[in-house]
Amino acid sequence: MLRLIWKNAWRSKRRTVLTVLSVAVSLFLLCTMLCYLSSGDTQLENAGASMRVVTRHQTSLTFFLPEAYTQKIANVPHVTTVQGCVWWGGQVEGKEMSLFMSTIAADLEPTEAMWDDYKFEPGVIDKMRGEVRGAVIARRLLARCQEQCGDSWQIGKTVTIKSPIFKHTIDLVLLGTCEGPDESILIFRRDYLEKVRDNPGQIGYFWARVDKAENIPGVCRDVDALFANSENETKTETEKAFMQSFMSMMGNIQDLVRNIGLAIVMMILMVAANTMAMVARERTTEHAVMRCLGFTRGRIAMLFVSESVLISLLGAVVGVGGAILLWRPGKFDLGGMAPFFQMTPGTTLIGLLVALGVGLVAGAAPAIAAARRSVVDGLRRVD
Amino acid sequence: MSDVLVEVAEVTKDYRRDKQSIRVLEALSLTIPRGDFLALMGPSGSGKTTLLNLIAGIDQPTAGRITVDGKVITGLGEGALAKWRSRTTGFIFQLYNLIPVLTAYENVELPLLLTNLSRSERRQHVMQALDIVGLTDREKHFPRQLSGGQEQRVSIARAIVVDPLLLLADEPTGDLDAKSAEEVLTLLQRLNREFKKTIVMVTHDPKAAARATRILHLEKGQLVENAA
Amino acid sequence: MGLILKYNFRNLFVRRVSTLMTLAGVAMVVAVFLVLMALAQGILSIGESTGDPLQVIVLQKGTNAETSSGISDAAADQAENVTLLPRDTQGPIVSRDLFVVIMLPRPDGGAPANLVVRGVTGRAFDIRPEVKVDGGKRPQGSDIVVARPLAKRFAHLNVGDKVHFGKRDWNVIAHFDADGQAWESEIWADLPEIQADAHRGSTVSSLYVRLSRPEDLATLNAELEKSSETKGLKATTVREYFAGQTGTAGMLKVVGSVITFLLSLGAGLGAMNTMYAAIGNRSREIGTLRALGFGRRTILVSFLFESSLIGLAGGVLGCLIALPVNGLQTGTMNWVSFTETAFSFRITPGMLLIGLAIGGFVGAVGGFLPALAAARRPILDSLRAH
Repeated sequence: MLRLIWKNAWRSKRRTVLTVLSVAVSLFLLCTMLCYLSSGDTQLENAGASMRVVTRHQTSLTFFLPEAYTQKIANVPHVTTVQGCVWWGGQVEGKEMSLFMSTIAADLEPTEAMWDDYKFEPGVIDKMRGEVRGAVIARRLLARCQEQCGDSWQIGKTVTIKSPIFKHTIDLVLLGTCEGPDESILIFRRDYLEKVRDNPGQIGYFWARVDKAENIPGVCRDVDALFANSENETKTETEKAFMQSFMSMMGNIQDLVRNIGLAIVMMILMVAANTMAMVARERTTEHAVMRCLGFTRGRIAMLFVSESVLISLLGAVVGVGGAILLWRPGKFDLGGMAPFFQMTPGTTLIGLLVALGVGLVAGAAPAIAAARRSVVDGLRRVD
Repeated sequence: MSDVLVEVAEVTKDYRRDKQSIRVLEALSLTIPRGDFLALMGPSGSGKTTLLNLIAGIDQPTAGRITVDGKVITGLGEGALAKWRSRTTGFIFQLYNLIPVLTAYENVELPLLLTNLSRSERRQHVMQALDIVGLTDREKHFPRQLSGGQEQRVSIARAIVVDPLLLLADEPTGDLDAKSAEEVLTLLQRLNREFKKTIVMVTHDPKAAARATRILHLEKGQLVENAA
Repeated sequence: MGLILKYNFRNLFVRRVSTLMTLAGVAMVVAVFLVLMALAQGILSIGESTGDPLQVIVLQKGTNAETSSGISDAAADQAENVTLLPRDTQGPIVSRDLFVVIMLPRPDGGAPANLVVRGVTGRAFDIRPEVKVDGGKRPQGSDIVVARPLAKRFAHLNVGDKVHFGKRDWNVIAHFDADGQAWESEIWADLPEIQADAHRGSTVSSLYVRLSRPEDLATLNAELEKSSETKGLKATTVREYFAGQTGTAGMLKVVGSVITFLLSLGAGLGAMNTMYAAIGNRSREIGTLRALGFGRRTILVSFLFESSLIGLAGGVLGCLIALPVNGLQTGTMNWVSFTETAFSFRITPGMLLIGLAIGGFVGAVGGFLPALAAARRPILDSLRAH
């Protein structure tokens, strides 16, 4: 039986190849877009497992909080470590739009304890203690910078970075690399920023580490209660919520991507259904002959649908397979904006299911029509 | 003006099927005078249709030469040959080969599109051709709305609309019932007698062949001449 | 030729299902292309439509955004003294703006997002006549006016609502429109109130002025350079300033083009299938036309025409599918200020034309090989096929 389906599928080689290729290209595109969506999901998932909370000014991130809050937050029960940070943004002259990086000024000492999900190059924190302009850069960001800006980006070299927020520029000495969930970060010492700005004591936001997951909501509440009705009220939230608000600002891109995905699925369906309708038309007589030979309607319909599913699954093998090969973890991250841009098992499954669904639907309508036609009718329709 | 219209000289035709070469026509020579109504007969595979196609300029011989109205058509390029066909020949097919999506009128008009005639001149020619085949009332009908005999008559109108020197018919009655076949043959005869058209007709039907002025028999790519 | 094209046209209706499905596939491509480009165009048009060549923004030197610019009272006063600035009975027509970023929740309770509060004086409305507040109301004290598109994107921004940001509640007294300019993403509040609330003293972020001639920009910068108070300021046209903030659009265009290209490939392969089937089924007709004396080129052109027509019709359908998004409100992150910019999808006639062209092109490319095959097939082979 399988042999017959396989042979049938290749009866018109050109048509099958064209259909398979068309389905493959579209499925590849669909998977690529799903990679983008899953990248965001993975980010959120990772953040969900984090033991960190963020404290920012209640009005918005652009308002500073006093440095004195560091100790006050550290004194809140269940808080183990606190780190004051300032978002610098980070732009390289001439590459403002193409090179994305998160440059952050952070208190140096709590770094390793706070970011235990990152692997810092051994000794790099020590080196930073000895160099006020010292910085640690994500390995992938370094590679990207080298690609775009050339060899001036090397460990040991000094680089100049602008900010979309501050009018100053900073010169950072790259001391080593780190690896972790966010592959676009460049961390430097907050005391260096204060020197550059000549405006000490201002913190953009605090990271605080909580001892146990169940204490996170309590800590958020307690920290905000601590500063309620003060000059600078705070808003403390989980890392996940913090990230979600950034994603929310990206606008409806996720919805847009989903709708485009739907359009792609429709297109695949059109192409596949068209092919199967053509096949059905050509085989009208043949199906009637098979009925004469004693094949039941159901069996012919089954054969036909199987052929349709086979063709679209072949498309999936090429398209989804191509996506798996091309979007291997770490290969591509949309210039740092989608750090987990890769084929997940979930995406692979969706790709295969779409192909299966398309195959079934595309084969079903002609199959039903063929099964309904009477034997005599089929034999008569010789064209 | 010579009274020989078609001259087939030493024509050989081989077909390649898979890796084997099959000789369909063997050094065949033949002349067709103007005003002739020639029937080509012979068993299937005898090469009669091949000969017709060669004379019609839709196929090229392996060797030999075909001259029509003093013009050597053998070895002409695709474009030149297409142009020549549109001016010189009218082809009538066994299965009519009308274009299903075009009306009878439009089907007949088709060959005129290759001329420089104006719209109104074309209309005049088409209606005249339809009048000769007796189908002026069917100009707006589509092929599927016509009977087989009517379809073949439209196809004849299409063949004569450019007023060609040579009419070529491949089994024109092969797919028709006896009555329609009679009508078509009468029409061809009239075209030959009244309009002085030279006609070459391939047929395996002796009744059809009997309407011709001359019958040639082909067998295994060779001519066996019998007087009609 | 007319009749031959009629022949091809009518055949589209003979194979209705096949034509429709191919057409729908192409329509998807064109629709996706248009939606993505409409998004990019929407972002671009903020930059293109905001300000005019005469409107100028003065910022602190070295900054490229209002977010990071700070201009002291003294510097602003000094800048207003520049003689070429237009004046009326109340003095120089200069708008002093304070640009503050706040965070507000979404109406559906989703994650909050940043948006801009602009502290303004009455001058802001003199400089920007395109800002039209319902009932001509002006922000004062705790009364604020809100750009109309924001009401749907954030909670508590309907007229009559109280909204909390900074240190207190504010009253939304009216909505305003701004012809699609950048202000349509902003809340406008009374300048001194915002200065106090955000602890900015008497500092502002920017000065907006309208020059009488474009050449005055250079003179203005030269004048600013002369005084020690204003040495640290720089004027640029408003248009240039906002055009610099639409980088997302460029990225969208690139992404949109890549997606369109891949999708076109998919649809083109589908069209190729359809056309191969079409010429296969009509083999005898093609043979007949050739036997009648129609040349290869005529056959090639006629089948190219047929497939282009499918593509073009797909293009039309795609345009129809995409058109409703025109004017649809949405928002995106401004990567310079990290605030949300509200804008609407914008489909231009030019984009529609490109969409149609893509449709026709996909059809033509998909039809080319089949048409070539039809034209090159020997007449006898065509005639013999069933």
